[in-house]
Amino acid sequence: MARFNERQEEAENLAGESTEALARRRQNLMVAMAGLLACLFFVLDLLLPLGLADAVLYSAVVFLSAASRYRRLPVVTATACSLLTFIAALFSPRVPGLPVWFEWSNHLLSLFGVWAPVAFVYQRRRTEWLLKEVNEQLEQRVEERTADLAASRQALVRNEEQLHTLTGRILTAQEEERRRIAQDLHDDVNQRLALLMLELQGVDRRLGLVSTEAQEEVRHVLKGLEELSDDVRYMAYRFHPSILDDLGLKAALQRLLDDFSSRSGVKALFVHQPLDHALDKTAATALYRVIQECLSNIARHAKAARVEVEVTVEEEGVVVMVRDDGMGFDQMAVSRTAGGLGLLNMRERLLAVQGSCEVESMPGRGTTVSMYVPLVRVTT
Amino acid sequence: MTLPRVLLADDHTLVLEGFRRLLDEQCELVGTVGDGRALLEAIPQLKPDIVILDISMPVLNGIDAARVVKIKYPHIKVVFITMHADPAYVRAAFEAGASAYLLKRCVGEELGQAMRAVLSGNFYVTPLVTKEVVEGMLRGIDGGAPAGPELTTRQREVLQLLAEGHTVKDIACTLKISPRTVEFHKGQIMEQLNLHTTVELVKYALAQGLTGQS
Repeated sequence: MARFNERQEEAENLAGESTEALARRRQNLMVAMAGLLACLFFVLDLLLPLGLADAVLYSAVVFLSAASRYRRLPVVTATACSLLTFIAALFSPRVPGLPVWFEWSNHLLSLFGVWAPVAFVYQRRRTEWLLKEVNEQLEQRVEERTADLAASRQALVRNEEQLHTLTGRILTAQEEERRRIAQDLHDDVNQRLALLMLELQGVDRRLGLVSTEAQEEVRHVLKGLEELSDDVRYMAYRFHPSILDDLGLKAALQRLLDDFSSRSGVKALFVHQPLDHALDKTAATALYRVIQECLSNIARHAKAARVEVEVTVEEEGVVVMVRDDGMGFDQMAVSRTAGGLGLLNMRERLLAVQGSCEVESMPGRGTTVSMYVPLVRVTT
Repeated sequence: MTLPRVLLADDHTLVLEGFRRLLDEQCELVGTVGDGRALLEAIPQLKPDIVILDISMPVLNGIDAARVVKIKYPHIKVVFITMHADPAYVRAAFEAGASAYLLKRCVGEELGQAMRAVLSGNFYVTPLVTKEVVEGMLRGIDGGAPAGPELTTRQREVLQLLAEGHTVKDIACTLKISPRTVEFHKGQIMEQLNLHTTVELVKYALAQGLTGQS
């Protein structure tokens, strides 16, 4: 294999060399032709009188040399041709009767004929060089601008990602905080309340033998404590439903829908496919919150008679669909106003657990919200 | 008369102390632990007749601990004493094998009665939650009884396609869901409508005018 590669390289080198050699040979041929032409014109110049027409022919030689890649060849050729013209002027036959100045001005004209192409060629080369320079500058600026654009685009994407991460973190932190408060209320305040009630019940029992009046008062306090305990429990539930952590998404959703139905009078249908892979707490909480948001939207705006909530498991994730038969809304109109904020919030919540959310609605046709959360998530 | 041996599991030390006094009157408290895992580890040594436990506990929660207890030691009675009055919790507790369900605030009055019921092989649910539990049962919500004949839009779609003779695979393709989900919907529909064969399902769909052919 290595040998094969070597050979191939060799062949390529050979090919490169051969094109190089070919170009060189062509150059040499051209220079030789220019020389030959110069000699021919010199002979002509020597033989013919006046030397105007043939001396001017030298310009062809100069032009020919300009085509060569040796940059100085036109000047060298022009100098050589001028020298030849000068020599020929000395030795060419004279036309009798013509004044000498006429003849010499002819030769000067020939010199002009020789040097004009040189000036022309150099002028042209200069223009080409300038053009190339300008082109290069332009290209460089285009490249710089393209790089700038790409960089700002990248920065924009990065900013957007950062924004999403930040929103996700804020939502998670908020949820965590709510969970903590709920836990404190439930596990600390409420447990202590229960204990107080327990002790008070003991007092109540012992008092029964002594004073019915005092017993009445104790019972009144007990009743108050009971109400307080219920309120604290409801407060804790509003902060974070502990049922979600204790019994899972299905039980929590069932409870949510029962509450929703009895409060709003909207009939709720609930279909729930068992989750083989347990959905983790963060994802379950995100789904719960988004469904909660959907239901509160339905209660506030939709004037629906029926709500369907379906939780199904597809290959890689959990799909939840919340569908109502309410009045629906114009999606374009809502996304332009503040009403879109709730939808944005839902989207961000799911994005924080690498999920997604789609809303489909038309005026008079109800609303369907589809959510998706992958079961296995890439940790970021 | 020998007192029943009781093992108590609760992560609130205050509550443990409060209960200790109450329990000492009616049973022999053989030990207290702070979470479900510790409960499972303590059972072989302490050999209790009854375990009393809370639902929300760290490491291993009460429901999961009760399930393991009932599998490993079926003779041990499980009693829940908790803060949760939600019928879903009650249901989960009895599904896990509980014999009694009490709320912390009523323990003083009801514990004795509950213990007697449990030891004689009966169940006990505190009257404070029976209302919600019975209501839930009657409404047929709360996952227990079938949710009634009303189907969701997706279920009706699945039913119609089934009645029109499409295979599960076709239906999955048409509705862009997995075949497993189609099977799930089919099973759920049959359960809800109390039907047992596909033929019955098709008959129902035809009777309801659900199919596309007239």
